Amino acid sequence: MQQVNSKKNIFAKKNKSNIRWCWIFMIPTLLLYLVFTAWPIFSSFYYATLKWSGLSVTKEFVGLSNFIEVAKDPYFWSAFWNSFKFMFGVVPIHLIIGLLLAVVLNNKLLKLAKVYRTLFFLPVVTTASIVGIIMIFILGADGPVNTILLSLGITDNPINWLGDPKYAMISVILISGWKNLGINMIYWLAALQSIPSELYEAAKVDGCNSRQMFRYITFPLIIPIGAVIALLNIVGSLKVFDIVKTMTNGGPFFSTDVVATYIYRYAFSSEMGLPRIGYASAAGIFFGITIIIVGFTANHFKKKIKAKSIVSQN
Amino acid sequence: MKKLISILLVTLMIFTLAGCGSKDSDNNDKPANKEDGTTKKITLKVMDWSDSSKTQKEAFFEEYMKNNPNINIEYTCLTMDQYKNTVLSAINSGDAPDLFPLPSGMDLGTVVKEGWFTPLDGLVSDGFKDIFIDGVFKEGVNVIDGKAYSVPEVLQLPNSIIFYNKDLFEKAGLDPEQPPKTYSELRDYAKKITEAGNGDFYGIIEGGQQVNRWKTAAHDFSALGGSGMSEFSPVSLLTGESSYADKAMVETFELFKGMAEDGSYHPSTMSIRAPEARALFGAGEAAFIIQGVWCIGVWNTNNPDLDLGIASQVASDNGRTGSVAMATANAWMGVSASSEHPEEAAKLLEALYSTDYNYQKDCVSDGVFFSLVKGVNDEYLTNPLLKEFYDAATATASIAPNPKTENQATSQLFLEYNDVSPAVGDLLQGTVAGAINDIEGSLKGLSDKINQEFDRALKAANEKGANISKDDFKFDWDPMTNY
Repeated sequence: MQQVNSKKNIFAKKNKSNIRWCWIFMIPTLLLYLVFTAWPIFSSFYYATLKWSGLSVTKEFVGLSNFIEVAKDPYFWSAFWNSFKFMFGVVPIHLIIGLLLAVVLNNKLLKLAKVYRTLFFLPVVTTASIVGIIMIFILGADGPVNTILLSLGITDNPINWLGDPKYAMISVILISGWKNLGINMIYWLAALQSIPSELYEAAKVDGCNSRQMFRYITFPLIIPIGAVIALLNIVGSLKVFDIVKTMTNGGPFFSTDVVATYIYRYAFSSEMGLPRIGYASAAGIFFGITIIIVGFTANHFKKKIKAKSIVSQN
Repeated sequence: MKKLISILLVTLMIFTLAGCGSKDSDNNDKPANKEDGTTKKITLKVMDWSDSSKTQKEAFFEEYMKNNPNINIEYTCLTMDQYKNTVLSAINSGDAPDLFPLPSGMDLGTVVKEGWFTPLDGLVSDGFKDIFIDGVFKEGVNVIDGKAYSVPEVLQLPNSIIFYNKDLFEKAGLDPEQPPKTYSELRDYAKKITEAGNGDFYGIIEGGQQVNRWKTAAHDFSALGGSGMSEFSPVSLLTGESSYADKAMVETFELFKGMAEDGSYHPSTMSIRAPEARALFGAGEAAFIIQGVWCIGVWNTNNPDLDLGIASQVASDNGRTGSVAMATANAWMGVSASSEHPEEAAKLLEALYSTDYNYQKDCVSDGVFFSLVKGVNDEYLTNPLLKEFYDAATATASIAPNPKTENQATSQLFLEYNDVSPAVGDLLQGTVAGAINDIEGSLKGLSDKINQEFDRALKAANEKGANISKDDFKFDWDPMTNY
């Protein structure tokens, strides 16, 4: 008994020292987190209560008036809904086409699967701003897309894909969907490869065809991971900035203006007068809270899906 | 052994850190001439958006560095939008270029209060201001509280002049010596040329992504109809109220909308910026472009075969009742308040205008701009297109009153005034893009918002002791004559 106790003590001691070391190793990360994440978040709450250009020492406390002004600005709400439009456009592309690609490229019999995976992944590692600039040329009036449409007789006049409010948002969605398709394909591939092959073998013995195997094995098993992928995509697409900034700069006439470009316009540039960092911070907080709510909601559904999937597996 | 390795590693890290720390000071203080050890190599950073004078400016900097071996100049030329964002971030991070211009749409008085620029008095030589023509160093324009903070770049002429391609006029069966004079004529000509082009060339092109280009066109075209709008004030100089909802502005918007509906705009218009639009016009892809004098030099160099015509802004079919508001000079380049070498920066700025160097002479003879330096235009203005531009620009423009020059206290309003968004440039851009159909409604909305914000800013300025009223922004001025 005594021996057991002393053993316990040794473990407890070791555990304590382990915990101490854990904390010591975490200090640099914690410090970086405090300086580069927590501090900017809290300071933006403070900035949001100021009338301040972000450049001068003169700051005027204006209370909640920046928030009220943001809430009253129809162009903020237009940007707000555009962010959601973008999300609703991009997320299904990433989830559905990403999954289809992953299923096809997961087939071991497919020759050159690795080459195709690399090809689909290439746009992911290309900088968004470069993609944006190249797409301006590709989708431009003299670009290859219009040349093909004109030569096939689909249209009589070149379509300004990024300069026409009717087509600008859909063009940005399609390009962004294509650009990040590769990373979603990789997520789905990882999910597919986590399924034990014995299940498929057993299903084969039971006489399942490939559609039935997807319906009853693959799909239920990858759905919990799919929920995580969806969550990442929802939050990521609501925060979109670079591709919109380079392709349309939020235009024409705010038709692709998302909250990030709206904030940028007030925080860093203004056609007449100085930037308004206080107002931009208020808009940022407003939208940040929305993303948190959306994130929590998505997370709630993710947990539900996971629980359901565990139940169905049992 | 482990201890020894640890000590060595720590020592190595300390030295590495020390090395990092001393790197900057080494660079800055390194003597250019190690033998005497007195001359220090200084790097001056210059940033602007004057792409049309870039070649001449780079040649000037080369010449300057040759004459001043202790000076190294790092020059960055960006587009106007890029410049604005870059310079704001640079100022924010305390790393502003030594010499930089006032970003467009900003008020010098406001940024001086923000501490961006250092006064030039005492840094430039005593006779520096005398080399310029009269009216350059005016209170409220380049002078704030009696101190000069900036130097203008060029003689300020309207930059909404209609350039046209004479060859395309001929191809469309139009007389190249008879440019359009009214709204209907411009719309009609643009339509005819587009039809003649059949997809190879179009009526008109703009740098449609640049909101400032639309703003200039809206202000200047409507000013001929008596709107009294200008760059100097958010409200009309004639009424002291926003005139965006007035007939003159509505008609201007309808002209641009009409040209868009006719399909007269080059299809790239909405997705390009001014330099690209200028290049496509130079390549003969459009017959009209509304632009400024700086284009002439670029086309002379890049498109020597371009048969260029120059015409004044067109007036409404009801006739002209006003003029484009003109000032002699605007605020432009100043010395950064955070510059470590303000004297050297000021000397470089002074040399930019000196006739000892070729910059002013080259820019005038190459057709880039009209110089503000006395005598330079008389001697070097040989380019006939530049003369034509001058005639076209001054035919429809008049010197306008500037509230800041007339009453210094009005600058307090500009400190309080928050720009209304979307502004007139956004609305015209949206109209041409087809996103706005209710022109009158959107202009009325803008007008109401501006009046509201103007009243609020006026009240806030007065609460801070400005003692100004709406009358300080309203002038008894016949817009057909100089103020």
